[in-house]
Amino acid sequence: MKTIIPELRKKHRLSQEELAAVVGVTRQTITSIEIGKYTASLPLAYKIAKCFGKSIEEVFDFSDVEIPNEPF
Amino acid sequence: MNPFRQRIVDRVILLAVGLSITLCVLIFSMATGGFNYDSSIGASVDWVRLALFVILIVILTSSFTKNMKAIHNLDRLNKLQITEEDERNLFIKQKTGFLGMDIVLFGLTIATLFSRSSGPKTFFTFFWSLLFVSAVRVSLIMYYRNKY
Repeated sequence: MKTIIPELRKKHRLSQEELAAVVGVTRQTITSIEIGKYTASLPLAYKIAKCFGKSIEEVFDFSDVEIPNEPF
Repeated sequence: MNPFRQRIVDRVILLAVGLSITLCVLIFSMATGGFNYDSSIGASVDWVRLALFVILIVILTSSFTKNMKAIHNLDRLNKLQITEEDERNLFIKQKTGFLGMDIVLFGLTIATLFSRSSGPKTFFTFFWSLLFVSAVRVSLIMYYRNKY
């Protein structure tokens, strides 16, 4: 899943390590999320988004997620 | 007390007990002539046993030291907590079946160390099984760490 975390980190002058410490994960997890290898859980995605003052949809790209044809 | 800190304290106690038992078994074995250092096949079993004991003691001691330092230093404790509760690490552990593998590895280690009296065939069967399972575990961890 694509994200704009690297751009947001640059804008807020945060290193991967600092972001990891704030959201309570390891630096390797942040790296994996940024390169799209690992998909963050909902609570972690929420924490990361809130860290930058944004919503989850603004930080993570859900265009690859299939939406059902007949939503409720 | 912080629940994670309590968990680490319990772990340190368990490691101390394990380390003491391992050292006692090793010293007892050496004192009762349980190790043969000549060039026979029995001696090769004993050399491998001794190496396994040493590796086990080193692993237990380093784990004990690391956890003990974490108890007395808040920064280290927080870093340890982050590492242990990191969701990607937990995900990879689940993928590699860490609990089952750990139990199998523990059982094989004990069986290898205590199978001396059953003869070299039994001993080396357990020993090579232990090496195989260890290699599988390491390969799986490396694969999933690279994948995720």
